[in-house]
Amino acid sequence: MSASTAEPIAPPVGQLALQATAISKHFDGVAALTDARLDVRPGEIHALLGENGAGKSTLIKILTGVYRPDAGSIASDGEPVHFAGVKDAHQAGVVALYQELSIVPTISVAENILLGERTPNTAGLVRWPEANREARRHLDRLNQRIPVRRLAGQLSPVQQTMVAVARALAADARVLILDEPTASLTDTEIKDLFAVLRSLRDEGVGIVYVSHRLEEVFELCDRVTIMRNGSTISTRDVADITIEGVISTMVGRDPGELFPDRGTATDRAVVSVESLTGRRVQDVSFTAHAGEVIGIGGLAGSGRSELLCLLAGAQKATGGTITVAGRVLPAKGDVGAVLDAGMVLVPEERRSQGVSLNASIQDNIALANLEKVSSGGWVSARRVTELARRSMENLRIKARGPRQHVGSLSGGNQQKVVLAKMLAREPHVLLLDEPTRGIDVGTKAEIYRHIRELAAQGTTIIAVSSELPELIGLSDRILIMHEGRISGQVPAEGADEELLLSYCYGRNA
Amino acid sequence: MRTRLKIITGLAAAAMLGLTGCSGPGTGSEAGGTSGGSGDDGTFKVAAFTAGYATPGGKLTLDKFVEEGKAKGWDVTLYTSDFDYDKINSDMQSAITQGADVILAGFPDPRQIAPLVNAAESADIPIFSIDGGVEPNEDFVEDVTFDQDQLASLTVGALEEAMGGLEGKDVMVIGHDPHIGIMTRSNLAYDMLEEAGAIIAGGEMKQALNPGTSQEEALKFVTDFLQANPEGLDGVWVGWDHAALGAAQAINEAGRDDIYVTGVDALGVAVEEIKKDGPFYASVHQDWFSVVDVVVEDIEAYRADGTLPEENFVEVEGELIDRNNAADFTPSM
Amino acid sequence: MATTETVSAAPLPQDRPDEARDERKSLSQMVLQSGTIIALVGLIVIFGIMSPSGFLSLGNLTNILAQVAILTIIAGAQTIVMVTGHFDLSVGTTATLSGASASAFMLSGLPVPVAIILGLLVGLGVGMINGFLVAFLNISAIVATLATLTTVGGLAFIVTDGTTLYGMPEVFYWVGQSRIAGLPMPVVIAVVVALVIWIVLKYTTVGRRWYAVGGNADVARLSGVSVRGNVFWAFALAGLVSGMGGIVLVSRLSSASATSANDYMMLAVAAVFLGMTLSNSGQANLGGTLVGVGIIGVLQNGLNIVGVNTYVQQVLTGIIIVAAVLLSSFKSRRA
Repeated sequence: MSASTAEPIAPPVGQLALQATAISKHFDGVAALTDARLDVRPGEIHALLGENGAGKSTLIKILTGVYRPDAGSIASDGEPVHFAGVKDAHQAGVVALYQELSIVPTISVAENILLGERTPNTAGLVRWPEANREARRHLDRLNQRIPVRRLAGQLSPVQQTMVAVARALAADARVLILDEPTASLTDTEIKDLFAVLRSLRDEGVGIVYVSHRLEEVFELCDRVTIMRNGSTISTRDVADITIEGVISTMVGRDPGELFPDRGTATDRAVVSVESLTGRRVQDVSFTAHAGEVIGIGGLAGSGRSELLCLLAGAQKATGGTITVAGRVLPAKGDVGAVLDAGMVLVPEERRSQGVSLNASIQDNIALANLEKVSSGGWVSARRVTELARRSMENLRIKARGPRQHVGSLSGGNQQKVVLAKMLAREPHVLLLDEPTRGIDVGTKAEIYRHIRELAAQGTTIIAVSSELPELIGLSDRILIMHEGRISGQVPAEGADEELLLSYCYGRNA
Repeated sequence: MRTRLKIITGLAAAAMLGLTGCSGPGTGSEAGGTSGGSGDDGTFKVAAFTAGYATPGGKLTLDKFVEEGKAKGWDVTLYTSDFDYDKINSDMQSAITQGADVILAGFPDPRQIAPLVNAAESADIPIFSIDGGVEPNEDFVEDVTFDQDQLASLTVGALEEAMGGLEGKDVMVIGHDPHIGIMTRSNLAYDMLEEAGAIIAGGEMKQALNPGTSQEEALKFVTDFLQANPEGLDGVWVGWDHAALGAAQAINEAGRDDIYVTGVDALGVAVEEIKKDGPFYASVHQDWFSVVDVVVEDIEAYRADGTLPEENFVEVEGELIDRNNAADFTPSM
Repeated sequence: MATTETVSAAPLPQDRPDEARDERKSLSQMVLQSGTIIALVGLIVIFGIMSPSGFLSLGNLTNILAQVAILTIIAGAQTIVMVTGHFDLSVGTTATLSGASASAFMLSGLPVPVAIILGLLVGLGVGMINGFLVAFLNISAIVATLATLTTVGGLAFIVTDGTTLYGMPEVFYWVGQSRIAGLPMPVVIAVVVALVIWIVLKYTTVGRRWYAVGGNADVARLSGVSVRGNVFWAFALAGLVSGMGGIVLVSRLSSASATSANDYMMLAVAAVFLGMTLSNSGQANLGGTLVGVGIIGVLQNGLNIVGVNTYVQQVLTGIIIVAAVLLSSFKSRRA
């Protein structure tokens, strides 16, 4: 542990594309950054790591002119710069791509690429043919064949990311900052993105890569800068550090086991699915037992999320049956009946489906559990707060109190509120869709532990995840889907990622 | 516009002398302590309201009332709204609690003012009204208004004259039921036209939705009707000038000179149209300033000694403005 | 460390290499998906059957165009604002105030062109105030324009003194009552205004930035687009165009009342909403707005010609708007 702290930052090698020194930033008197440093060389992929709340996002926003620093300096190509806005940063060639803010869905691909004063025009009149040609040229550089006149919102997530990268190229980016670009991509798509990033690196672009997926970092990046509590702790060559070392530097302590022990599964069948068929789901059968964690994997579009929707009653089944604790659920998709049977879904899109960001923690929890906090139609404020306090303790939600707005919590804590909402119903069966997407390692471990604790209490858990290590570490049994069918089923203990992947692609089935 | 207003004021003052001079400040005996007279602080408080301040007539009439009341030394407060009787009722209830001595209802819809009537009754405050309906109403100690029957027969008569009879003629009737005066005269005119053998165009009365935009609405009614029935229209009877202007414009635009329009109000712009000898044939002048004078005198009498008017429903007559007298007529609105 | 490296890199997704085909598909989709256009055609057919001579005549076609001219202008203004993802509830009263101001200036003796320009500046001014409130003071557009709606409505009463202004110079009526090649002047003006707005929205960098801002203001801002400036000028232009609508209306009617154009706000919003169903992206667009205006115009004219009572007309107008929007949403859901 002592080896990873207070270590001198490596001195600059050659001309740095971007250098931020001793940056500090306060919001309403609270320090978000105290001593943040980052240097980016031309032609490198530089990982920026840290737990949620470590200050990565704030630093990125300062580097791209969204915020102005309270103190510290930024230099571009050795020249000191002051960014008064995003435009200034763009002019200096510093461009960021944000996870949830990559494209404008309602305008064309070409317009997205040329967004921000770069559309070719004569006295304000757009020269459309030229604009489309130019957009296509940038996509060609990325080896992407995306129709430039199509609405960007109709593209797949990876194509949207590619469009955002192309926009950065159009802005002559010399430093490209990517914030969690792979969060909604499948493994194949990630490969494509990495190929593109590597070729940009080889052209001399400095890339800052922010991700919670450490495997990706080790696969892709050349150097890594680790932040903790608003300060930069360490910058190293990736070759000189291990994943465990990164984690301990990030959390400032030994990570411990990421995944808890298994061994809570019983023989009592709780959920049995027989020949279930619906949209994108073909003839799926399996049984889940009390205390068991079942992981469902597969590529995007394999039907894994749709299967979960069918189970949750959010979609209509066209064939087959679902039995929960001896009760056969109606096929037409009845969320109420599913809830009555004690089965709840924690959705993937927490911002749009899971929580109301403008409401407090206690209101979010209470609204999903009104019968628990009311009598005779009257809601008891005391019981609302009590329920929230209990849930916050159980899940160790870090917040000022039950009245804090969910929108002001970190991503990990937001996800915990989603869980708390559903767990307050005391379900027999918990359906989880991507339970740890976009969450830092520390919180991930907590959520894994909590899931296993629930299993130990006899809850049946069915979790969909696109991360194979998570499936392997968390589950007792893994089902892999391919084109709507279950293409493979293996015990998680000692499962081989390669084998799982081949199931994902429908081989060996 | 200002000078015109002054002329009108002068004319109205002259009319006042002629019409109401006889009922000037009386020398009647002092009434009992509770009724009439000024409030505790010596000022005589008049709470006036109108929901029709957004209409030209409503505004001019009420402004005139305020002006004359202040000239008498009263403390006049005017409460207005754009046909929002909820606001009027609550405004007036608080005015009553704050010690109003008299209420003046300007162009009220008697169907919508029950709350303030009740409040006034329990506070023993009399309500004087200008154009508060078409029949005697016990809610008011006095209601001065125009005789809708006379307005309807004047205009129907004018239309008959213009078209050369009513029997077998196709006449469109445009009304606006939310306005009680227009509603009453429109229905009366409708009946008169039918009785005289005229055919109501479209089979029923056309209803404008909003007085403020009624010129355009009537323009569309008539244009569209002429599109569908080029030979099916001889006259348009309209309950108020604003809409009548739209109807006349539609006829002009269709290039027709054989269809006539009548309105009510004698708005300046309407009188200009009448002067042109075009489709706009006649309108009726309602001299609201003379009505104001009647009411102001009666309120003053009440202030002096608590005398209440003998009749609680006073009907005055309108004056037909047509090609013969339009040139000599000075409109007030 | 086990990573996903073991999988051989999958080929790049070869989706839709034929871009042209893709465009054609979206075009035909657009026509097919448009319950709104079906509704418009349906209305024309129904009224045509019910009153072949009255409704389907050339004269009535001109008549409908004349009747929707001012709505077209004001709905065009609303379209501009709605492209940026906002709303302008004040377009109606702004039109009223501009028309009334121009009339008052004329009556006070100013030359007609000067009075018209001043009237337009009044509209521009109201639009700039809206834009300032929304873009720079971050007041939600509904609240800000509701406030200006009320204030501007009050100003219109003050300008007109609550009465109807009339007696403007004859030459002014050229704007609203003359004809060019048989077409009423308001129609010509509406066509020009619509054309200009269409070009601005479709072919200028300003218009495209408005679409970017309306699609996702955060992305636009992070890409270096000045969101505030763009929203401000969209509101300002909408104010100017609304003012133009009001002045044409006043000239058409030869008179300016204190509320003459107020009702256009609701119709303009309805027209833009109807039009939004016609675009793939669900955003406001001028072509769609014109179809929406067409539906409203045909509906009002047709119902008058068939002789439907105005109260019933109100009810039917609402129902048909909802039906048209529903029809498109069913279509697009199935597609």
